[in-house]
Amino acid sequence: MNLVLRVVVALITLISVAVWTQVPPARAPELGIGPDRAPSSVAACPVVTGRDARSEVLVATRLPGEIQFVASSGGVVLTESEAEAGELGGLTFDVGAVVGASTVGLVIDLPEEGAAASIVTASDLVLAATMCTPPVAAETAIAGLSTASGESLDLVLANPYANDAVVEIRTVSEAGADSASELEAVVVPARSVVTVDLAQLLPLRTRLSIRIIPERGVVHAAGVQSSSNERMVVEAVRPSPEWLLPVPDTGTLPTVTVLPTTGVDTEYTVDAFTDAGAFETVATGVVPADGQVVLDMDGLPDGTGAVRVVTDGDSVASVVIEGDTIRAGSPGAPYSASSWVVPGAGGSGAVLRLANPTGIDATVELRSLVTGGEVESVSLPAGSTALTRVSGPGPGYIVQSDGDIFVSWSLASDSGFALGVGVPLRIAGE
Amino acid sequence: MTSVSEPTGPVEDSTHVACAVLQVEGGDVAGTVEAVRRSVYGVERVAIIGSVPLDDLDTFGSIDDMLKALDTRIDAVWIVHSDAMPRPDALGALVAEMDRNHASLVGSKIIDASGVHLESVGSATDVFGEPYSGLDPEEVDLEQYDVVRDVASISGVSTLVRRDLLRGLGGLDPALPPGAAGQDLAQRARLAGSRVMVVPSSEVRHQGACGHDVETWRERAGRYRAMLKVYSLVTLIWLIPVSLVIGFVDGIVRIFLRQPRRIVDHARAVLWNVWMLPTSLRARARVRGIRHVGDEEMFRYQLPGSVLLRDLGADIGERFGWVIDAEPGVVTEAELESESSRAVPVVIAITFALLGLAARGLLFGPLPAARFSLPPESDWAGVLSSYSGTWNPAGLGSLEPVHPSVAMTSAIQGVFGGWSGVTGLITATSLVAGTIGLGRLLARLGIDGPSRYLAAPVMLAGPFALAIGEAGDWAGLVAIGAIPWFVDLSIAAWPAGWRGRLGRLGAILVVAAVLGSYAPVALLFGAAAVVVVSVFTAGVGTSSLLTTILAVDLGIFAIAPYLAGVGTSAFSESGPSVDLVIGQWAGAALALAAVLTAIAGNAASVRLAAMGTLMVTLAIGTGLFSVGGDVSVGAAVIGALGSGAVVAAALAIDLDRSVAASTVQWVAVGAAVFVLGASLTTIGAGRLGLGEDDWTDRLAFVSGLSSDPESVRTLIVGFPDSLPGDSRTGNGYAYRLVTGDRLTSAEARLAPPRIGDRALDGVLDVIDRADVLEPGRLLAPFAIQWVMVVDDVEFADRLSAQLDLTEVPLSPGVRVFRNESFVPRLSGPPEPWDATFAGGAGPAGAGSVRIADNASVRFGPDWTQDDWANQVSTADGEITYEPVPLRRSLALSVGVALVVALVSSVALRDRTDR
Repeated sequence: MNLVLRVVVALITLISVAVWTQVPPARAPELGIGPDRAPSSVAACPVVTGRDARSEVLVATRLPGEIQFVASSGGVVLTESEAEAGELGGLTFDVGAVVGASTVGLVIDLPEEGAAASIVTASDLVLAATMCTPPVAAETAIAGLSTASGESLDLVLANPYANDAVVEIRTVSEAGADSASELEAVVVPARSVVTVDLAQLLPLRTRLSIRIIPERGVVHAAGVQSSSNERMVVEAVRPSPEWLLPVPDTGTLPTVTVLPTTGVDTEYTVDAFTDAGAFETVATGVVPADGQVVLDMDGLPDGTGAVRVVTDGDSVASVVIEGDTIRAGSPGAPYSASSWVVPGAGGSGAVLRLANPTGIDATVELRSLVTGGEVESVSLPAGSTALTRVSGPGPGYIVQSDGDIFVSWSLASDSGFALGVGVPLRIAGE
Repeated sequence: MTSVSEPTGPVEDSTHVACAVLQVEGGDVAGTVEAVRRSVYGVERVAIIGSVPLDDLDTFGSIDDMLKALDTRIDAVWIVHSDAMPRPDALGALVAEMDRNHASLVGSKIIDASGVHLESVGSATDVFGEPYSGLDPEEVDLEQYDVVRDVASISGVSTLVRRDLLRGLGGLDPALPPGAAGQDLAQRARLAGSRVMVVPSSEVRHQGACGHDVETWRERAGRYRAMLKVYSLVTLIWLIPVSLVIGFVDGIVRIFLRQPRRIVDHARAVLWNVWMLPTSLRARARVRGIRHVGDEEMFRYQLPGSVLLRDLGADIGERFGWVIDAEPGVVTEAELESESSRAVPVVIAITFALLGLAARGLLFGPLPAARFSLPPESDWAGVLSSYSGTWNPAGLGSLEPVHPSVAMTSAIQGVFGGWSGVTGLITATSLVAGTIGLGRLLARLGIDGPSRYLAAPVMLAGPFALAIGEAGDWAGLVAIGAIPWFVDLSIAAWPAGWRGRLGRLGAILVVAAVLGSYAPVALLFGAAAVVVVSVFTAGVGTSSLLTTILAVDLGIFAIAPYLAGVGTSAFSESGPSVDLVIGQWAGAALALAAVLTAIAGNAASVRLAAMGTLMVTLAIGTGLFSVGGDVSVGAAVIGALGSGAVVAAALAIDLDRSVAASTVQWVAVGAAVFVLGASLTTIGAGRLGLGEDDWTDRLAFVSGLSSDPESVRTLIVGFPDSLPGDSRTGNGYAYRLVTGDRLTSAEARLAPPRIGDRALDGVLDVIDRADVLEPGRLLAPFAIQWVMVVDDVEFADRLSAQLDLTEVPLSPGVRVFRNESFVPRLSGPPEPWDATFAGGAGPAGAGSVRIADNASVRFGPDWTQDDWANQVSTADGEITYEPVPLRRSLALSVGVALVVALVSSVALRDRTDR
């Protein structure tokens, strides 16, 4: 082979080898991305009846459709029921009448993502309300409960789903982080309800807040605090940096408890909304890491009907009213909105509590979900609050406004007082 | 201890010697006796040991008998074989040195009958008793070893032993052949504290009739027995197992040196000793009584290591003589070529051994169920039916045929009666054919010698094969074995006669069918390789290109039923995707070998290096277009051939004796050796790069928990690389359906989505987008009873808050959910129907059965569409499927043509083309 040919071949080889270095590595196959999850059309909650009480599920929905109720306990499905929400979008379902067990996990398949459900438990001695929450495989928390003398406190963990759940429970009291080894990994079997007696495990805590951290599965939790003649149920909700809370004038000063879930010192500010307008930053401070803060409402401006708590990290805030004859509490709503679904607000003694946390006047329309219910229009100046007494029985209200507002509600009867907040809806495009 | 052998001169006959002439077969007793009688040193008595008397001489059956009959004056016994001719001074020299050195056992120098060549001047042994004379074959006696010295063993042809020692030792062991008997006597003498010496001044010519230096299994067995007698127990504890292992290794390796008898000899020797163990133990007990020294005294005269292994190494080295120690000018080119050719079988054997190790997991067991490497379907007839125009049940089913590799494997499986281990046979055939084919092709391209076979591991297990393996494509690995044949047959000149031409045509069809079936696009890459070869090879021109076109056409014909069903788009849209960027180090070494060989190789090497480089470039360059599927497999197959060619070219540099070895050449060879070594890293796992079996155990629960596994589907969700075979893309994850309790190759590839697949995609999208309380109910129409999540994908989170998918701890490492709303694949009739590979059967009735497969009008009887699925009548008690006529005709034609081609390629082959 002569030299020229050898050089040519060597060059060809060299150039070919150079090509080898230019090839990019194979790309990983495209997997697409997870879609934005639609707001859940499923809601679930523990239902604690007992004491000869009667528990009703009250559903409010903007669209008619079929509603499925599945109640389970002890590892089995106790009942599966279906009902139709009519054109008006309201439905009342008597849990006790079809289930028979005093404590069940209830899951409700709602006809639309903008629907909501609440549980109202009533008897001669008891009046309690709680909201059902969508399933989330993330931390939830309850703030502001108590195991002080004379108070019983059960943490009710409902897992109405097909697979076991395991949760870690961390508690915070006035002493700071405060927990028991029994709470480190609580197994909630599928289709079961587990009740943890916190009054026994952590007695004599004046203010006890609870974080529920799922390790596996999903649970719906509620704290059921009872005295000899009253009961309140506060459901666990997902943390948020902002909370809108009602401050009902019941003759008993409410307290607001703020529980940060970030694990670091957290600043907070409180704005008050009165019938005379808004008062910004009526309180401010820092919640220590692994601590909570309890805010007495006695320093608030007169006529305060609602407050807004803003923290610089995620937290859970709730309002609790504890008097000699009254036990009521509720977590706040995480944001203001122009559309609200308010299941549970109905019957005598029911009051819709409106607040306008913005700087713009709003006109609010209240639509009762009962046949013949009228649409009531309320003017709500910027920063102000208003009360509207509900005229008759019904499963709830749909509230529409031309500005962002906050809606809560309460029930009052001879047997007690119950407090709840509506479900704000984020309408696509708004 | 040594002393110079001095002329002894006349000696006084103070030592009284009797001579025992040992009758051996073919010996001349009278001649030996005459020679003994001519001895200068007086022999007081001559006796015959054997069965044939001679004249007036006493005849004894054994030495022992003779000893008993000897006069007490006799001091020593001279034992001489009857085929030996001692020189007259031989005995005198023995006696003189025995007396002078106070030895008890002395032996003569043994020279062959011509008087020129040495047979023995005493010998050493290794610790295993293997004798080592140090003499070369036919070594001329130039008195170069004429030193009186202590030795481990002396020849039994002529030995002088003191009578008292001989009696004390109990004489020669009658159970041993001559060589082993002499060694045994020497060992026992030394153990008794006596000196054993060779006296070269005592010369004895040996006719060799006794064959004492011929290695037989009896000699080997005798040496084992001698060991058992003399060594201490502590020594024997390690000696025996090591000896057995060495014998086994020697036997196995010599099979590849065309000496298969050796392992039989080893086995016979061991068995003989087992049989003789009682007598050996009795003899050992007698030896214990005379033991004066320890084993260390014997070790002093022994060689380190194993003579057996040393001989083995020497024999192998002889095969590699041109590499190890041949020097230009000393050995002729013709001799070098001859030695080179002799090495070929050894290299082939070593190559087979290495490839066997690298592929052992595929050869001796089922294919690992990982990615596209899946075991064959047991219903091979169903697979062939599917290939020839009926329903393919993979996923939710389709009319697209299974991949031709699946059909070809099923056809071979059918030939072997449905044997599922046929994949091991196919793998082995591919490796053997690939090795031989590469050697054949490279020889045609001017590379002779063993390097052309040494490159086979690079082609069959090297970087491109590894890339195919990592993509999980067993079929692609099989195709590598066919590619050198494809190129070789394309460039080979056609035989002269029509008979040979028909045979060649048959061979081309068979090879093209195999290549086309296991890697369809490799047909085109193979044609490109022929073009590359034609550029650099004289005599490969138009005719070869026309042959190549014919070969490609035949290959396309062979897979015509597949092409008729899927078209060519499937080549890049489904199947394994091979990453054509080979490993950094292997790639660099390959490039180095290619460039340096092109610079410094001989003519054939340069051309071959250029061809190989262009083939590799063709393969890697295909990666620039980000293609996947069969296109990437075809490219990798040609890359494998190219890398083998480059390495063979580099290794062939050393054969070029006309070019002085230079640093560049050695670097090229070193780089090639590096690539070769890197190619053998697959030996560790033994699967040629294919992944571990992820799926056989994972789906095993289905058979236990589902009454009719063929009616059950499992939805598998994870990342694409974790899933078996093809998958479809979900929202942030991949998924696919698997029917039954085991994955098979028939299910590996999925056809483009049909109406049911789109419906399933929609259901999964619903589950992804919002909380669904009963996802199982949505999945039930697809006959999904199990949902398996194999990776940490968000889909698992979607199943945490629902009511009818119950998680069950069935398979470690994955999450399995049972669908409580499950409906089987065949549903509707009151009595359940059993599903089969592509249909089902059950009790006949007046109703209908729903088939949860993609809707197809060819289902029957009385088909109606049920949403995306099928409803057929139960009237016949069986589901039918009307085949596609064209595909059925094509499949039958191909089948017949392949059988004819196979027969003609063997029966009519051109025997002159090797």
